[in-house]
Amino acid sequence: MACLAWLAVVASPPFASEYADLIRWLLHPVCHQLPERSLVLFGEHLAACHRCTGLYVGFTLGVVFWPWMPSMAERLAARPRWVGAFFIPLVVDWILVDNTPASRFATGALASFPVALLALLALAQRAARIPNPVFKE
Amino acid sequence: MNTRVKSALVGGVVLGIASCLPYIGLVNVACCALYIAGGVLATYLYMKEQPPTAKAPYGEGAVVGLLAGVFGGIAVAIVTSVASAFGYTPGAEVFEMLRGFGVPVPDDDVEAATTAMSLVIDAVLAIILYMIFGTIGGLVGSAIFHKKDGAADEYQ
Repeated sequence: MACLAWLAVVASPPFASEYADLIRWLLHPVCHQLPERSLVLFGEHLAACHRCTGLYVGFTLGVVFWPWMPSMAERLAARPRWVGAFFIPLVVDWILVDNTPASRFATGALASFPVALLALLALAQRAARIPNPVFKE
Repeated sequence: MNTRVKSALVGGVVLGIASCLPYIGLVNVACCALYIAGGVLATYLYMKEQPPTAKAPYGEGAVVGLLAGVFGGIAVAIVTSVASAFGYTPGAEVFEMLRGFGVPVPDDDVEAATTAMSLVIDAVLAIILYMIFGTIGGLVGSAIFHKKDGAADEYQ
């Protein structure tokens, strides 16, 4: 829900033009928000650049889809350092001058997708530490 | 002070101050990389003190990253206030550099009027955003720097 709320904030400027400047100001510390490097919807650019939007979309998709891929999740959880490999395309694309909106968005989404699994594992670990009075033995 | 708080304090403050430095703060333009790096550094310092475990302690990493975000946000707020008092706006050179590349940048980002109220709002915003991205950094840090227990064959 938090991921969807964050995505809603990022995507809201085209749907709430009167508050667009305020929304962009809220997110300005974490993204340059350059109009020519941001997705445009109904003539209004979103509150994050292509790459950041990709990162947020990838993370949200990860939160949704990792529970449906238990064998892959187990494999990645056993070798968590592989998460770093998913960032290599993003870094290469960032260094390349000739990157495109699609490459920036796609590499951002790819990088954050496995990070969502780490977040889910962290939540599971924290939840396991909370005592459950209903099922107390 | 326990290891968790100490690591978070060092990671948060170091990267918080780095975010406000001329040109080094430019790294934050790359998807708030310094915010995330604060959480990663804090988790690295924390993991160094921890014994090997079978499972990577993502929950602990997230908490350390979150705390690093709180300290980083406070550090940014303090440094920004002090710098503003001396007439320097952290991040101004980023926009100047972008202008140099011919990228259109709105003027009000650089020459925004600095009032006590705007500093407080900026501080609250910085702390909230640092907490979110610091937590992500903490998760990545615990995945990278986790010392796996050699005796444990299976993750689960």
